[in-house]
Amino acid sequence: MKRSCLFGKRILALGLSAVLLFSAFGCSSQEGSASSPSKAKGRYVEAELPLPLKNTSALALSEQDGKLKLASQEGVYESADQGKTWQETEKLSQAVKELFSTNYYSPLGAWSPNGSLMVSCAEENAEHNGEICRYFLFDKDGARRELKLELPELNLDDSESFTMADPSDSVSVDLPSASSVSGDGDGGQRDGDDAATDVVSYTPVNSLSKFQFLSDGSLLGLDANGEIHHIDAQSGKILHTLKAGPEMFYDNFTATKDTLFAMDSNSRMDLYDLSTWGKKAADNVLNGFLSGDSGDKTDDSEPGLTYTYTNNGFTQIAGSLTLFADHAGETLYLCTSDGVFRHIPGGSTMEQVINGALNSMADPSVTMENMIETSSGSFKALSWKQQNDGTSSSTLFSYDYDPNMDAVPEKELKAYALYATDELRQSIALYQKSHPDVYINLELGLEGSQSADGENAVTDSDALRTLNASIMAGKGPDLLFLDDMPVENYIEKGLLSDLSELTKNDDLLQNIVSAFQSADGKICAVPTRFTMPFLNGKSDVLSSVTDLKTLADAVEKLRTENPKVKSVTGLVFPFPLLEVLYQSCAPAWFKEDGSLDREKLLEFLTEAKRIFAADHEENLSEDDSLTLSLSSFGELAGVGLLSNSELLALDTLSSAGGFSCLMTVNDKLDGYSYAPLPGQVKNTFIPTRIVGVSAKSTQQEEAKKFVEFLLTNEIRSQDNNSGFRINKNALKAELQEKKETGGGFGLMGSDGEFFNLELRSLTDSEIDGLLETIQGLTTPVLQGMIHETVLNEGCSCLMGEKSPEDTVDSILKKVNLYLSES
Amino acid sequence: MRRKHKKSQWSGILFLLPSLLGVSFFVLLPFLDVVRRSFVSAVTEEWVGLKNYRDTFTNPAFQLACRNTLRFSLICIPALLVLSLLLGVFLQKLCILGGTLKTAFLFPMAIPVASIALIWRLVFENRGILNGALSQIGLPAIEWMDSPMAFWVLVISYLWKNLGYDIVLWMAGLSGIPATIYEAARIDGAGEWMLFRRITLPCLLPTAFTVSVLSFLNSFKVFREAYLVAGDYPHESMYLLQHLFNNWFRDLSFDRMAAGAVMVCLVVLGLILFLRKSLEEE
Repeated sequence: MKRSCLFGKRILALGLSAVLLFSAFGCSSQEGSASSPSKAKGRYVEAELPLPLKNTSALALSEQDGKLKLASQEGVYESADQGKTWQETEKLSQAVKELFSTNYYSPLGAWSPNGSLMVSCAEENAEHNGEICRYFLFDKDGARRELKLELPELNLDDSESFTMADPSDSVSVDLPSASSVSGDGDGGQRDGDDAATDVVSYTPVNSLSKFQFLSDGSLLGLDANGEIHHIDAQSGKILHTLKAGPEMFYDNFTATKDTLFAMDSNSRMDLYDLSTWGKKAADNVLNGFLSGDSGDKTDDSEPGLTYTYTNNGFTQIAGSLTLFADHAGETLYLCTSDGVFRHIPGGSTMEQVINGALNSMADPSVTMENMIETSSGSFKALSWKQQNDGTSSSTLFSYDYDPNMDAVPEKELKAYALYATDELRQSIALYQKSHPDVYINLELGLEGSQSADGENAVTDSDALRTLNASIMAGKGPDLLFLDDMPVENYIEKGLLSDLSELTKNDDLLQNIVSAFQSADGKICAVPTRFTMPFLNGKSDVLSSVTDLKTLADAVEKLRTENPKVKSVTGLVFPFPLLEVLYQSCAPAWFKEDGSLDREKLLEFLTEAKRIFAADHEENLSEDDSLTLSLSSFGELAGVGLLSNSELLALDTLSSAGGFSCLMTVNDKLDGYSYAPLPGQVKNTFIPTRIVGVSAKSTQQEEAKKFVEFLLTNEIRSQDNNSGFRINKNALKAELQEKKETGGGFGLMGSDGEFFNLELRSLTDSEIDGLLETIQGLTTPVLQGMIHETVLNEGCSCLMGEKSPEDTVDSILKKVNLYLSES
Repeated sequence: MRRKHKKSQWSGILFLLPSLLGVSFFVLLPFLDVVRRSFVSAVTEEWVGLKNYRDTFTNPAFQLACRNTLRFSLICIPALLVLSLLLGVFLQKLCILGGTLKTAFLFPMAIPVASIALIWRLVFENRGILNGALSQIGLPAIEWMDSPMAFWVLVISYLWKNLGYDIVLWMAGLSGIPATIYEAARIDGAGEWMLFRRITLPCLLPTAFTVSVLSFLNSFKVFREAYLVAGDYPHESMYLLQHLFNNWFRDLSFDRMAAGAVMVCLVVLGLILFLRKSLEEE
């Protein structure tokens, strides 16, 4: 008995040990299997189809009787070959053209199941001092009738009683009132003729922002109050109105043949029965997918979605979301930048049908507007695509299933960045489009790590430590986007491959591309963009400024001569002032042994304090401080000077648009010009969008091809403030586009007064002058821990909380500790 | 008889084996890799001999961190051992009330590190509770976290958090001393001080070794609070070896980190062996 008991215990112990062993192996990483290349075949492949449109955008796309139907202001077209060729319809097209031959313009359209077309038209209305929306219904034969909708009045808060500038896509920036400054100084005078004042006020009228026909021919429409109306398409009478919960509104919807899916402002989907118009039970799978809260979902193999946080703490899918039903009207599809997902109402899964990372869906310059599934099982998507000149146009994409294509591209390049930019996502999307066999898997160190309050739950340092651990474990990325990373450390440690072969290209600005060139000639990190600090002022002031000290002298002199000017530079807060001065001084602070030069740093803070003290009135109001601080950055370079409350612009030039703005501003001022900002160092620039290839990567060639692609002329559509391109052709093209397109800004003074700044074309000599200035830039300025410490500590100095000497001591203590680690 | 002894020896080994395997896989083998890395460059893994050791040893940040860590250990550990022993003896005498107070002393261990960091901030910020109290009584504010006071904040935090744990350990040792020895000594006329010096202290020597080693190892954990409050670069007085290693990890300086880790490990091992030998001799 005793013996059998002992035996039983041994068996039990053995069993438990086995369980322990299996669970230990069960916990081991699945990476091995996940990273092995997938041999599965078949995926949807994207192709761009031609559109028969010249000047306007498409309004609606549908498939009826096996033919694609496309409506636009230019006419109505049909395609019998799935969008490869288009033929204009006769009567309907004429009728639509006739409508738009007057001054209407149309933002929306929808096809009904019986082939009739509804469009909305925005029309100027003198009674409302603005636009009203009208709705027209065309039958198959082109007969037109207006649908009078009795929409409820628009709910407006008091704060939304509008006073607006021209409703075109202009940027509005508050500026201090020009009239509040007397013109006794020698500051620039605003040209009253060019900067015309134009104040418009109107009360917006409720209208439909989206509409869709149901299978019975009735209409669903979403209005500006966020309510969905079921409308009789014959009489225009509202049959049912659906409202979201308290404090919420609907902002998207679609309908299958029996269910309406209405998405509210908290990213929850309400379901309505289309026969009873009663609310159905919530679809938890769908809601979990939309809000990023998938309950107990633990399957890592499910596609990752990109979510963002709303102001009230809810999560929602990042970017635009397109909802549509399948051809039979039974299944719901959702299209995001992550791809197309299928959900059968009441089902337990969200199935990814198309991976957005492998096509234009991930391209931030593309917005999917209208998507359909055709009877052949392919998808067609009407989208808005931002063009190189900043305008948008319609594009038609087709997604057809190719059973022979690898489900996942054969080659996978791992890329790492702390955060993504639109340009980075666009570059990846473009590269993958031109290299269908390559999949670039972008891992972000900081994004997606937000806590519920929207703050990042990990710091840069935490993210870098995680990255380093994966690099040392041999699982690191092939490509590194090095902004805000310790680039110099990585180069010194030999982590980055030499890219000098890629930079031997006359098209590249060699002075910029070699920003990280080491003594042995290797270039292990390459900036793809750069910015430069500049000074814009009267020519005599400009010629008197040769370094930081003379800059401080000039600011003090201008203050003495113009005692009533609110701010000499517009930099009324210490941080932006120190930021721009840092960019023209930092390289001077380092001794040959790498330590910081106390005297130079002290000089920097002393002169910065002088500039700050002389810059603005002592008791500048909070409103003026805020409006002044908003007056000039990036695309708005120098505009603060127009308000007559600034005399000198110290800023960072980072885009063709900004340069164009600066030139336009200088036209309106007497004798103004620009130059690189002279500080303790001259001709500085800031390398940005830095890229490197990991020396540990086993796909060196493929990774270098992508870097080469980044340096080409091909990616230049995002003319944002991340800097000028280092490819001369791309840069010239960007400047030339500004020469051709111009554009403008609506600017608002603090008294509510508007004036328009129409950007003029750049002249060839201005473009050549800028290129010459850029080619003269010699000293890269790097940012990192020192930048952060100097700016943080320097603010207390400028605010008078610490003396420059104490501040320098404090900076040196921290920075020297950092420097001594290396 | 001999067979039985052999069998029990095997049983002992079998009991030890799972733990030994775990320590070997998760500690000893990785540490061997650390030793290897201390002789090669960080990324390219080229053989560099003793260069990493030279670089690390001459590195000013390493020297500062070593000095601070040593100073911290020399101040904190004796203070903690003495304070916890005295409190342990005192609580032992209080019987029932002692149990309640012991629980109260253990309370800081139950507070999550993030909460402690938050409390630190509330208390020691320039405009925090402590400076508020100082200004109430007309004293000037002190930059607690950005002056040499930061070191003492760290010391007090360590003592506050670990006192309860050490008290429990001491009390466990105290409860193992037979009451009859005390009674016999009292009959012989020994006073309280004599009892403590001649009976309690000698009987607690085996416990002292455990408490010292655990206190020393726990002293490394104070970094978590320091990091959460002051980040990568705190005031130089509280810049510890863990700060340096943490920053070297961020900067991919695995070569120096490995050399530093080997040196620290040797020092810690030496200290533990020395302590054991000293206590054994006593």
